Amino acid sequence: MDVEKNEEVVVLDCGKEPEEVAVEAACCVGRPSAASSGSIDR
Amino acid sequence: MPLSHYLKIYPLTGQPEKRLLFSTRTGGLAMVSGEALAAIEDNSASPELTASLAKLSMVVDDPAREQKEMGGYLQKLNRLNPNLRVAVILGMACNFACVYCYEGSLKGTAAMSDATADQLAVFLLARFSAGKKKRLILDFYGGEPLLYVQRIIYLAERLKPAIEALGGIFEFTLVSNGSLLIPTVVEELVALGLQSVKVTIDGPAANHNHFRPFKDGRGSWSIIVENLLACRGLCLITLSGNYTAENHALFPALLDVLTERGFAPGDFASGQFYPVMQINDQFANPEFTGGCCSNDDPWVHAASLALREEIMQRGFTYPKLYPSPCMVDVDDAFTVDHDGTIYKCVALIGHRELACGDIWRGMGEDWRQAWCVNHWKNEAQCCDCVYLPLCFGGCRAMAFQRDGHMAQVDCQRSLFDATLEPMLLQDLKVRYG
Ligand code: SF4
Repeated sequence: MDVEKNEEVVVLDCGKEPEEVAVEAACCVGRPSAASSGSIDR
Repeated sequence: MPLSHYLKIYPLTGQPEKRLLFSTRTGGLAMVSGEALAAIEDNSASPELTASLAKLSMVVDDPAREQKEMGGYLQKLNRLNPNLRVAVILGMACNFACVYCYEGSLKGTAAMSDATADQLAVFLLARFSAGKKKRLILDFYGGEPLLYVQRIIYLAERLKPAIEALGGIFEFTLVSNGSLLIPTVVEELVALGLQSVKVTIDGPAANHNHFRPFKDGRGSWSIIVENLLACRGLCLITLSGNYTAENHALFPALLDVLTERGFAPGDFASGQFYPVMQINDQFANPEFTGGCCSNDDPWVHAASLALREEIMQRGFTYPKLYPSPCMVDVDDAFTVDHDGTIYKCVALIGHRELACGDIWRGMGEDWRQAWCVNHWKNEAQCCDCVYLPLCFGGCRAMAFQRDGHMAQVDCQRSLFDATLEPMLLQDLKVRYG
């Protein structure tokens, strides 16, 4: 996490651009989904 | 510069002069004053503020163009994707009899043969080379994948050197019930590329043993916990658990028991609990009816939020929320069943009408239609939706199990409306506190 502080904005998380999302694109094994989505588990 | 179409703005209790900004397009999070936000909105913000927010994609030149570009986001991800990621179902045998298992009556003795494993290696290498990929990641499933250790070794011994000879990286993960996870096995597999193991524990012993017993009825909780203790530090372990409307409140106690047993939160790469998905297909266990079939169930909103907070408060890592496409939308991600049939989702194996091809002939022509790729583009509500980058039409498996088809999106709007703000406030308090 890149934390940047200036007078007007406190950046807590820079987010991910598509390049980073593409590298991490996963199957549901580690999908940091929303709170839910149901479990792909057995 | 105007605000991004994919920006959510929330007030902060106790700090009336501040606003929390979250970009659903990047997962970026920032805090600004109400005054600064007003300046952005009436175009009188300082160049520094505008530049900071532009860097976060929270203000953009043209929100209409941004929205149009979001229509091509998944194609862009596919162009950029350096990975070939394949879930491999080694066989259908399992030593557990979990009541909610989505594989239900598919389980049995069928397993991947030598000939199929050889062809799988040939198929993966060809696809890896043709796509000029950098990393091959296999996610081994079963049944229970550790009943097939020799098959994992067989595949890894062929693929690891072959991928490395192409200048690539070979790694794999396991989705295991944990009962056979012992240090000697883990050490052997780590040398061959094992990165992480996802293990499921359904809360404290009594609840877990009811939902996830061995086939002969014995409880499995103690063995799993002992195994995890012995394997700590050998590879990443992801802790998972599946709850129902009736038992979700029991799950935080699991974290306390694990701590009493000597685990530290850092022993787990992450911890996350999920509502059990209600399976309604022909393979489902007819006796289990306690699953969740919709993100609209209010109990799911409340339970998932409460558990998220309990997990984070105890110092366990809870994955952050970023855009994270489903494997159906990722061209170089798919599932290979034990017989070599290709599907787009691990949870929908065995549904022959959804087979996408096989490892001898490759992907067929019609799979995109069968899996309703881009179905969200037909929905005006999706094209305009602020949550689109986090959702892209939701979970195909959930829609299929609920509706019997996946032609319609599995809308997550009510879920995000109810949970996004509280999740960000939890992050502010616990993650960034
Ligand atoms: S399915 Fe619902 S939440 Fe998802 S993008 Fe469409 S409208 Fe938004």
